Amino acid sequence: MGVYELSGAGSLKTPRTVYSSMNANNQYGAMVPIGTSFSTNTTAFLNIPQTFQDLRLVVSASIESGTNFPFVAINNEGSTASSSTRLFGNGSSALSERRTGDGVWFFGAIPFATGSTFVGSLTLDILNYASSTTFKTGISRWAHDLNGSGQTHLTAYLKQTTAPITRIDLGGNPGPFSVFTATLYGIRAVSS
Amino acid sequence: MQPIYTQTVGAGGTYVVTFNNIPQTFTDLKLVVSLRENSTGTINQLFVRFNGSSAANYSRTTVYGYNNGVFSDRATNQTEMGITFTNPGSSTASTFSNNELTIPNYTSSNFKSIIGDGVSENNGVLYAAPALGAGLWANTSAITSLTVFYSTVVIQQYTTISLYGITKG
Amino acid sequence: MVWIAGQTLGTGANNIDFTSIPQTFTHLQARIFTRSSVAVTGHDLNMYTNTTSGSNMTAHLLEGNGSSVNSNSGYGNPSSISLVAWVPGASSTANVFGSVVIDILDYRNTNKNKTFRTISGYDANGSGQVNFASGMVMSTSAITSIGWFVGGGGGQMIAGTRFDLYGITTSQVTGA
Repeated sequence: MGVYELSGAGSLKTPRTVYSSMNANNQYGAMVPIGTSFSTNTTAFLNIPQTFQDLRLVVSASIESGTNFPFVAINNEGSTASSSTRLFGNGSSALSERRTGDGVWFFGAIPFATGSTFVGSLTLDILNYASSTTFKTGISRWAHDLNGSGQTHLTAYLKQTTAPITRIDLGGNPGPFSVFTATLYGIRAVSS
Repeated sequence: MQPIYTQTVGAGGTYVVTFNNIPQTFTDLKLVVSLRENSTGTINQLFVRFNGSSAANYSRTTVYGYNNGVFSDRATNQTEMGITFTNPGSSTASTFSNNELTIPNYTSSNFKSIIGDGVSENNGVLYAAPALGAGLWANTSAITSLTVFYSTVVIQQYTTISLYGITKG
Repeated sequence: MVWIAGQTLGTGANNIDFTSIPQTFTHLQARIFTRSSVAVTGHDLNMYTNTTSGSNMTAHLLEGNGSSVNSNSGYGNPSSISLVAWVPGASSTANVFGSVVIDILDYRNTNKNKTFRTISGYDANGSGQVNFASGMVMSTSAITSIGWFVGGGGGQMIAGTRFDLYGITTSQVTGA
């Protein structure tokens, strides 16, 4: 397959890099659960298989008391090489923020409400997590509504490491989580 | 991700699409909606109820773009969840919305938190609204049914609504 | 969700195309991990399909750049292409790629125009952007091919770019 010039926007020369060989009969489910965890304080997915293309994390989290800033930590390194850009709504304003010099990926830079029955939801996609040549990026949706307060976030994260992701920790700062479920999925086994 | 049910609206349209007897064997639910209704002059939210409940315990927080502006708003103590937007009859013909609601831990005894991502498209600035939403159903019951509905407008033919289950394995 | 096709680029490419898309699924999802070769910090990623003809595509974006949220109408509605995301360019922090997830519903339904929804973003440690985008092809024809390119010409998606296309089925059970 070759790589050819683009003649202009909307005006495309052929041939291009094309993928016309489709595996139409592949019935393998591409989204495979790797692990599920329930924890009162932290959850760690260890020894993440390096055999998928992407990771997807789905979290349902709640806080029993105090303010809390839930986060995802990549590879438990403790460095401050994480940063993020987000847009969010707080019910009255559409806002955008940026963070640098973090040790973790914060779901939302906002206090979590008290009450164990109130929950927030997170989906986090990490494409190309097993790469050893690119930095690690994630994109998340975080949502918590508390019937009069709450926020919804769309966030892009960066961890400046080319190391493949082998461990993901979830926690709260300062914690704890009182009711907390998290499921990690691998998307597309690279052997299929 | 496994498909559970799909409903396609037939000729004449309908006010209500309901999914009953939702299996309790998954971890999370995902609702995927391609919807057009017949209202004119405005955009409408996607209205959802769980377990047939019309109690005033739904709420939401949304951030969205519309008519070259950006907005965030909130609704509390609602009798249904209105989260993200759908295509009205005033929008470009043959155009249906693209909405996805993710409901993690839908069988739990906690309140239910919903992530809503939805777009309504249009050839122009009106009736086009990309929206990110956070929803709450302040009820500790497991979700066993889900209803998409409107009271005064009709969900149009060719609307498709699909329910998926996501399992932890 | 079923994987249809995909690849990691060993060298840069002006376009990525998926052709002969099976007509056996209900929805499609494209997952793209990419960076542009052009010397800008952020570069536009644009989409087209076999049903793109003249100016029959639209786009509306909600953008957050770290300081403000903006509404963006792409190249004007309608246009010949649809702006779906912003990805890092060559002037952005090295080794940073953007993530793009595009959901196209009812791609082969001949009663509907094709509406797609995109979540994308990148952070480059002091710069970056997140976007939530909507787009449409004003054609009721089935989509059999999809493609993407960066910028208005001359730019490439660099080596290390990864792109995958997935098919999503629905149940034939009504469950009503």
